[in-house]
Amino acid sequence: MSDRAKILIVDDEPLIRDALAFKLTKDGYDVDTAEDGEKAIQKIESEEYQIIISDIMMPFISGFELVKILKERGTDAPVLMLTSLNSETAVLKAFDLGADDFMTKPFSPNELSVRIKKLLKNAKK
Amino acid sequence: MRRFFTETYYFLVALEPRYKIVLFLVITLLLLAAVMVIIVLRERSRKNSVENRERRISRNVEPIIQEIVFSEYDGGEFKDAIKKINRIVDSALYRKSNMAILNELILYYHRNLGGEAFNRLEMLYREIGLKQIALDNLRTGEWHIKAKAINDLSTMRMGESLFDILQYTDHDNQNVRYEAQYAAVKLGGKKAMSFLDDLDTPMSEWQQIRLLDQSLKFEYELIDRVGTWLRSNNNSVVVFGLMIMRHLNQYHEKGEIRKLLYHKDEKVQEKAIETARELAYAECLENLYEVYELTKKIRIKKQILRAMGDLGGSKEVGFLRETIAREKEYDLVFEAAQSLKRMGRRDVLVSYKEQELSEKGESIVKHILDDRI
Repeated sequence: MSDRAKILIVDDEPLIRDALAFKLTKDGYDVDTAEDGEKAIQKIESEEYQIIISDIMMPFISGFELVKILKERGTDAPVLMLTSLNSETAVLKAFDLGADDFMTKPFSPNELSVRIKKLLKNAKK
Repeated sequence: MRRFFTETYYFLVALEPRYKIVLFLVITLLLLAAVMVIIVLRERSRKNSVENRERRISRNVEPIIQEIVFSEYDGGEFKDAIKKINRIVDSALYRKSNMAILNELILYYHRNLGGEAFNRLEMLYREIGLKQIALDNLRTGEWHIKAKAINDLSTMRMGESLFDILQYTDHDNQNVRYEAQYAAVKLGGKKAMSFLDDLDTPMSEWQQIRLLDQSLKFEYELIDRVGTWLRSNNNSVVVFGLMIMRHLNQYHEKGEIRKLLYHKDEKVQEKAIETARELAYAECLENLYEVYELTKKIRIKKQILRAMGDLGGSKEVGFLRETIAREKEYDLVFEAAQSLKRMGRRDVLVSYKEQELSEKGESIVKHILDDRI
């Protein structure tokens, strides 16, 4: 098994998914992707991830529901919400449900890298 | 074979006219259906081929764009990447449509990415020739192509295209000029808003809100052209000028509001009263009395009563009290009573003697005094 942290990207937009996967692979992470909440849950059940990056507006299971399910199941991996919703309500709801960080689109890929590093550092403590 | 056709011919000739008609209709409908099926199949195959081409280009170009956006490319590597993209989209027949696919791809990334990635995408847009294509489309295309070109140029923040875009801010086509006006403010800031000085065409309320939204970034700056807009012959520009005054706190042309209170256009007049109220311009109260007497429009009178509630003192309390007692128009009595309540003058509202108010007036005052409302 590699020492590299494993990240799951959940987004229904293939271009964003691919771009994020490209960037994070370049940053040295093992990256896996899922196009909706349902597929993400299946992957989380069979694999262990150190970070989950999730969109909010997705088919079948929304990002909010996904965080709720993960926290109810006791998943330790921090969740970073990455979404076009930039209302205060969305931010508060995400954190209330257990999300660990929140970023809005358009997002800076470099800022995302820094936030991921910080989340991983905090998770190790 | 010949016998078959001969027999069929005689069979058809011998048919009764009504059967002939039915047969003719059946054959015509069958032919029409066949033609329709062929058209649908051809259209579907054309669409499939476009989609396949789109997928192929995206698949091949995406990794190169990602490399450009997420890597520290030097000048040489950047040029090589552009050559690679050009090779992929190059085609004798489909170059135009391939470039359109590439355009959408870059715009999509641009909408979702920020920071350094954002700047690299803009550089790519310029270097690959998409900016030039947008400018060509702007000069020669149909109205919808022009509008799309302006939208793309402003989304990709091509500030150097501002001069070209400014030529279209008073275009005959509404969509083109609205896009151009929005792009001008977005790319050129408050200086580019000078197009409003000589704008002949009207702006819709929605367009005014769009422009205002773009202008909010100048909140703490002096917009010295406001006065010119307030004196414009274009009523929509005057209304927009008042909106800018109110939302961006441009007090320096407050004196113009006084003149606009007497404007012949009802919307301008209404906006002027609203602006005077929002900017707490109490010096215009005397003018408001005059306008109240001159106008027959209920909406304007209502606005004035509301403004008196916010700007007025003891003199206006008396006027509002009188209005409640004398006015027969329900809306005006209601507005005057509400203004008194807003001024904290409940004492005035309860001071009416018996028979001083009409039955309707009494009900309104009772309603306004009801604390549950």
